Order: sequence, then C-alpha cells, then structure tokens
Amino acid sequence: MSFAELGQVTMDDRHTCASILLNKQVYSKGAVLRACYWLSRDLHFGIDEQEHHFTITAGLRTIQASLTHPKPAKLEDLLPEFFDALLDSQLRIDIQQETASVRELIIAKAFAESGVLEDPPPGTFEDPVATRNSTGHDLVQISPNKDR
Amino acid sequence: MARTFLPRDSFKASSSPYRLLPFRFHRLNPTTEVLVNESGEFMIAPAGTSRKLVKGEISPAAEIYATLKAKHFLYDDYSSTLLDVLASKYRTKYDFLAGSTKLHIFVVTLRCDHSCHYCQVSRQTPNKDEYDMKPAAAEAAVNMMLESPSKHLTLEFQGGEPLLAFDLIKYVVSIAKPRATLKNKVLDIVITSNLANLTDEILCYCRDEKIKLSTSLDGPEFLHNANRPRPGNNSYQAAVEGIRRARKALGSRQVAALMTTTQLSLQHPKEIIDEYVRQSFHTIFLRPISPFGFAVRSRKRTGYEMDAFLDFYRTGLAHILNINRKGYNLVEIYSSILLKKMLTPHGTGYVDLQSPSGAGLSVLVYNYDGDIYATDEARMLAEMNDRTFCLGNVLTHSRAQILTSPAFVKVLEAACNQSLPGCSDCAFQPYCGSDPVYHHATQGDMHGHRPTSGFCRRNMETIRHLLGLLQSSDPDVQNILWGWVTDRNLAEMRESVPQ
Repeated sequence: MSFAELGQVTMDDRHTCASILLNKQVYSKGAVLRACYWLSRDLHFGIDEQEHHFTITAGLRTIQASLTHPKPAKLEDLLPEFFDALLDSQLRIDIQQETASVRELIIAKAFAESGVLEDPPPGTFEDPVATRNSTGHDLVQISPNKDR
Repeated sequence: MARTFLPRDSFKASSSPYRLLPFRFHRLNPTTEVLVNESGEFMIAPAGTSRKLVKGEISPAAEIYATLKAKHFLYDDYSSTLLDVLASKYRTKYDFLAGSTKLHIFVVTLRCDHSCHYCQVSRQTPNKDEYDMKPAAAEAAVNMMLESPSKHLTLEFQGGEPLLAFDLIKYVVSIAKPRATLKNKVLDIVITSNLANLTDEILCYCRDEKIKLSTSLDGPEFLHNANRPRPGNNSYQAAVEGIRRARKALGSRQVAALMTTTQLSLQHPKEIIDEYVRQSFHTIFLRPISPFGFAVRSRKRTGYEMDAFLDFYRTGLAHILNINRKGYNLVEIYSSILLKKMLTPHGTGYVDLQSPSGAGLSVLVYNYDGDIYATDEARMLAEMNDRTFCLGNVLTHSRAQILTSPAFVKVLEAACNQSLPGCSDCAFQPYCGSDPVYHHATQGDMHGHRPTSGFCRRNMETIRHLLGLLQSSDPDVQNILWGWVTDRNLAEMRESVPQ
C-alpha cells in the first residue's frame, strides 16, 4: 500500500513535490522539525501548522540528473525515510522527556566535586545490594546542601 | 568487607512497571537497531526494541529484560542503585577535560623543501627572517604553554619543515625543559618532520633529549613521490631512509608515521597498507585529507567525496584484518580510537573526536609569527586569509585573554555535540565529537549542517561499520578489534578468550 493510498500524502503529477498531512495528536512539532532536518539534504520543506494537523510540503532539491548529481533521489524513495525519521524523532522526544531528570542528575553527579548532591544515593558502588534503601524505588534522593 | 545478601524473594521478577534510564537509539538495518546509554554502553537488539521499551511492553520474563537492566537502559524495584555507577562511567568518559590544554604545537618555520599538493602552509624560500619563529615569540609561547594546568604536556614542533629551523628547536627545548621541571610538569616532545634533512647531529640530539619523531609515509614509492614532490623526486627514499636511521638511533617506538589520503591514494588502499607492513610499522591511520586551504584549491589533484574515502577505509580495514589474521599485529588508529570509546568507559585524547571540541581546549597552535590558533587546521585556514580562529598573539595576549577571546567564545558555542542540531539525540553522540573548524571551512557555519556534513557522514558510517564487525560470526574479527582496545595481538586474544 502506498502512502498516497493511506490518504496522508498527495503528490504532484511529476512526483517532485508532496503534501503530507500529520495528526498533531500523534506527532509533536519537535518531531516534525527533526525529521525535516534529517531529510533536508535531498528535500526542501514548508511546514504549516493548523489546529489539529501539520501540513508538510516536501519538494525535491534536485530533479534532473547533472554532473554534480548524476543520480538524484526519487520522492518515492525519500518519503518512507521521512516517515521513519518522524517515528524515530517522536520516540526520541518521548525518551528524553521521561529520562530528563535522571540524565541531569547523572551529569550533575559526575561533575560535582562537592555540594551538588549532599547525600549519596542509596547503595554503594562496592556493595549495592546490601544497603539498598527500602523507603522508595527512586534512584536518587536530593537533600538540601547543609553547608549553604 | 562483610557482605549481606537479600532474601531469595528479593530477586524475583518485578511485578510493577520498569522505568527508563536515558538512552538513544539508531536503526542499523531493517532487522536490527543499536541502543546506546548515556555513558556509551551499547546493545544491538531486534528492530523495534526501543519502541517496545518505551511503551512498557518488555516483559520482565523476557530474555532481553535482564540485558536491558544490566546495561543500564531500565531499572525496576529490584535494581540495585545505579546512579553512582553511571555517574562514574560518565565522568571517566570525560576525563580528558581535566587539566585543560595538553597539546601545544609550535610552528617554528613555514620553510619546507617539499611541495605537497595537500599542504596548506609550506613556503619555499631561503629567507629565514620571513617565515621563522623569533626567539621572543618562542619564549612567550613556552611560558604560555606552561601556564596550562595540565601536569602532562606535549610540545610538538611542526612546520613547514621544522628541522630547517633546528637551532630554534634547540632553543625552545633548552628553555622549556627546565621551566617545566620547576613547575613539576612532565613534557613529551615530538618533532613532525619529512626526515629529508635528518643529520647525525639531529639524531644524537633527539636521543639525548628523548624527543620522538613523527613523519609522513603516504604509501609505496610511486604514490609517496607523487603526493609529496621535492627536488630530485626522492621524498620516499628520504622518508624510509630517515625512518631506518631514526629507529636505529632512538628505538622503534620513538618513530611514528602518518599517511594522508589523496585522490590517487584512494585507488591503492592495499598497497599503502602493505608499505606500512614492509616498513615494520604496527600502526596505520587511514585518514582523509583535511578540506582546507590548498587542498580545496587543488581539488582536481586531491579532492574527493567522503563516500569515496569510506570505500577506501572499508577496503583498507578488511585488508588490515586479514594481515592480523596472518599473524602480523597492525592497528588502524581511527578505528581503535572509536572502539575504545565504544567498548570501554574511557574517552581518548584524540582532539578531533571530542565533545567539547578539542579546539583550544585540548590543543593550541603557536604560529611562527606568534599568532595563536585553536587547531592546526585553523592556522591553515589563516594561511588562506581566513583568520576566524586566530585567538590572539603570544607577544600581546595572556592565556586568560586567549581563552576568553571573542573568537574562542564563538568556537565554544559550537563545541558540544550534546547541544548541536542532529547530534543532540544521535545514538553515536558519546563516541563522536564536534568540529567547529571543519564545519566552518566546509559549510561556512561552525555549528554545521549534519545531513550534508562530511564529518557526520564519516563518523556515522565508520561507527556503523565497526558495530557490524563487532557482530561478525568470525571470532578472529572480534578478537582483533578487542585486541586493539586492550593492547593485545591476535594470538594473545585467542589464548585469553575460549574459542
């Protein structure tokens, strides 16, 4: 089944330009922008935001073969790449959102010589099992810096 | 230390949902993807694993669950505390930041007797005054180098051909060594030379002062002479004869060689590698030409697209693996740098593959006229009248002024791949770097445009290729690659790993 048959994509007669309708409940603006960025070597994009949808216009940068571009990419080949990039970008955003606080803590802890985390997380490097704190499941606990 | 164990029930599969730890992923092919966590540990898994992981669809009973947990991609009620371990690994990866600038390049002269197509800077002139570093600038550069907080410094002499200014090298060493000792610093000294002007006096001096020599060997005679012309058309003879004499005087480990890949080189990967074996080298660095200065101007002679280089690299690496299989230990340096980042918690001191970028932070270049540049490539750009990366001058600026100069602040803004478009959520971020000088030179923008960046393409494809090799069903391939990281040859690896 082609993208056109799915109703998301319409292409011009020469297959050099496509209009893509994306549901905002599925894809965030960040995911759309990132997917467009990664395909921007071969395609130029226009993005229009409506209440419930994004309308993406994607056009081939190179249509005819030349000495510098002997094998220009085809729109039919690039659109699946665009949709893969879109899905991956949205997934990456979901991961970043869910893990942002833990990531910040790892980096802060890595570079903090003192003071960023006053109390060490429950457990120790040498014997993480024995001293596991039974009060909660979170990896870290932050307490105020008593020296300040 | 007395150790207690939790009851057996504590290790049963968790019934409550797991939670994610930070990671990134990358599709390798239609059937597999790679997951990489914040400290660079990776796991190759069936396509769709990341999606299932995020959606909470990985069952604790599934085989992959334990691996995801052990490799720090998820945690649950029964995870031991991970943050200390992850933070420790992360800190180890960025250990190269400690101590600030370690590599200090002194361009003692631009004069050279070679006229290489890809060289940006050499000048063929007998006039010493015009292109040689003055003693006052040399002394100021030594003082600035020793202000670096790093305990371990590398002083590298470059040119032009630095041995044409041998008296100046002796002067710099004579003031740098005692001053380094007073500051309790360890000083490694390297001369990068074509070796054509090597004399017994120079060799004795290098031996007495424990100075290493680094030279260029572009391949077999026809290729080396074509890439590196000099009067008499004998640059190859000069190089191999210089390597032989230097090894005899200083020892084999004190002499290294680098090659540069020109368009002509692209057709001869195996011949180049065989030449390194013939000359008894145990390392080779398959490196592309720097897209700067004369290399861009003389594109017809030297220029090529990154994809052509990647073909050259893959063919060359396969040949190197075969050579190792036959019992000769030969390490490809760029692969070994990436493998060390991928397979160990450690970073590397390789300045071209760091984030924050090594430009200025890990390396400073003191040009013959006292001007200071963020990288060697940056001073090459300056020779083409682009002084974007000139940070100041040793005679008029302090180290503090250099490192807070507007030019350096601009570099820093584009120096972290953690915050660059395209890099910020790339799975290979922990292995890669940023290169503001490269992207300024090739794209007119220090931040760079990843989809069209040769730097990005080279590293993405090289890492993907290495990941593929690490999945090879041939145990020798894995043994060779792991051996490069652990400094062991194939025979030693075969003995240590059960077949």
